[in-house]
Amino acid sequence: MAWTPLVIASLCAGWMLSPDVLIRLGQGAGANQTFFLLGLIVAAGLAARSLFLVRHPQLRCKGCVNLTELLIQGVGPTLATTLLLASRMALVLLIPTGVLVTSGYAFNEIFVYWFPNFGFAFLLLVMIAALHLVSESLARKAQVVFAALVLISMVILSGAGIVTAGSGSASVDNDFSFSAPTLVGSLLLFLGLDFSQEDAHQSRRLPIGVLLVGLLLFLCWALVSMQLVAGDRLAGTTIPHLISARTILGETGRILMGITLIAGTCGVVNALFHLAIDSFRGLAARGLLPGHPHGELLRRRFVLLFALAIAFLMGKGLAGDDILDTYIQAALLLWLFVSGLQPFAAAKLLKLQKVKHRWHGIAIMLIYFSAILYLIASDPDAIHILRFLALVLIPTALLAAVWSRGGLAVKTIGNHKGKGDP
Amino acid sequence: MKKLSILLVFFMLFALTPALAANVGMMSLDELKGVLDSENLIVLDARTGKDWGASEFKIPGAIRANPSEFNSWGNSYPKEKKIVLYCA
Repeated sequence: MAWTPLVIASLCAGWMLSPDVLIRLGQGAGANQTFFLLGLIVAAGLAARSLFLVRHPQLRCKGCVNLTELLIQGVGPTLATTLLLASRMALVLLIPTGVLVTSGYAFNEIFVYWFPNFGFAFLLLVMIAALHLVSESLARKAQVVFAALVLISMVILSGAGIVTAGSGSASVDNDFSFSAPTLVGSLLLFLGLDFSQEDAHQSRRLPIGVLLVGLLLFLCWALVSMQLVAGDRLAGTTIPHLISARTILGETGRILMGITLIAGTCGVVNALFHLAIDSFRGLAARGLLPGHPHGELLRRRFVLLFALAIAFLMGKGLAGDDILDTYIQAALLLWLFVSGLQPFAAAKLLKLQKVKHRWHGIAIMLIYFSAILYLIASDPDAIHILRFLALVLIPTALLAAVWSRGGLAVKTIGNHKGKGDP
Repeated sequence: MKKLSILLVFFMLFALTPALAANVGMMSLDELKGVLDSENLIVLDARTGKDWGASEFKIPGAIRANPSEFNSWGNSYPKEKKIVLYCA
């Protein structure tokens, strides 16, 4: 099974259907009420505009058959390698460490109370790693199942919520409330569409479709949550999704939300493994990752590395430390930075082909970068975020500089020479 | 031999860790259940990170006490009462 549309769609939706997004969605809806719905629409609009640029058909003529190649050609091999290595490694190690433990609690508290939550988190990690080690194709197929389970559960819950809210059970007073950081943070809910697959399906329609379905689901869930649960309760809890699900369908709602959390965890961990491996594969193909002769990525080595590192972080108790949420926020901001740089790179390459999109690309990049600066400045742990970003980016930049200038071949696809290409 | 000695030292330090905390009393789940209604009992939920954030439940009557904010709540509870902390 190669890159079928279903596989691509479910991989693109991996982050959007994750438990972390559900938490941010619930808290954002609680903190901003109706404003948040507007924020979601604007964030989705920006992501859609960015997709139109980075998946422009003319870019294929330049050899940008995937988004890794787009960054290499658009901003140069050193910067592209630095950002892709740093952002993908941070994402694939930190987000799974957090969500796997979340799933462990969901399994323990909703389904089998005697089963240790930590044991279940490790079991899920072993399952995802085994899927990737056995066959990459199998891991892709599994993503369709994970995404479908989340989608079905969420559609049932949202539908039941709409019926409950419509039947007059809604008794929540929606006062005016506003929280700029959670509103701006809605940009972080639409990440993951920069999946870097290389195939005939690399059209704009598929990711735009995923984006629209995601937006619709977010709007329904946020609206239902706001109608049935008090705003301050949603904003102040770390489990807004469970409170909403319980309010909508009682014990059945909890079970459905438990399925959503576990399947969503598998989906996001699996998708991030794929995202990181595909990005590294693109770098290896260009000779920007040493130790991979003939440009072929030694995939299983990375799968083992990811799984062992996540197991180590969980074993060391990082998930039980408040600092993990700060690190995850920093990793997401780095992802948003890469997502902001992609439309800029696309606009830059399109300009060479006389396609006039330059200002759109620059505008999206500036909006994303301003949002990142604001989210850092408004975070009480800003110092830790900056320290983490420096710790991740500086050594990676040094390595990337050595690798891209120290004799490793950087082939140029097509007739374009990227910035810094030999 | 040198490696073995280092390993032994590490093992001893590891084995001694509970002894260093020996003056902190431990309470079993059943013991706690038996005294949950007592007025002389204060239960503090010292979970952090995902242990706190991802869990739907807490012990009835437990008060959140983040260890990183110990200075703000450390002296808030009467010392004559039995204070029970749980972290997982």
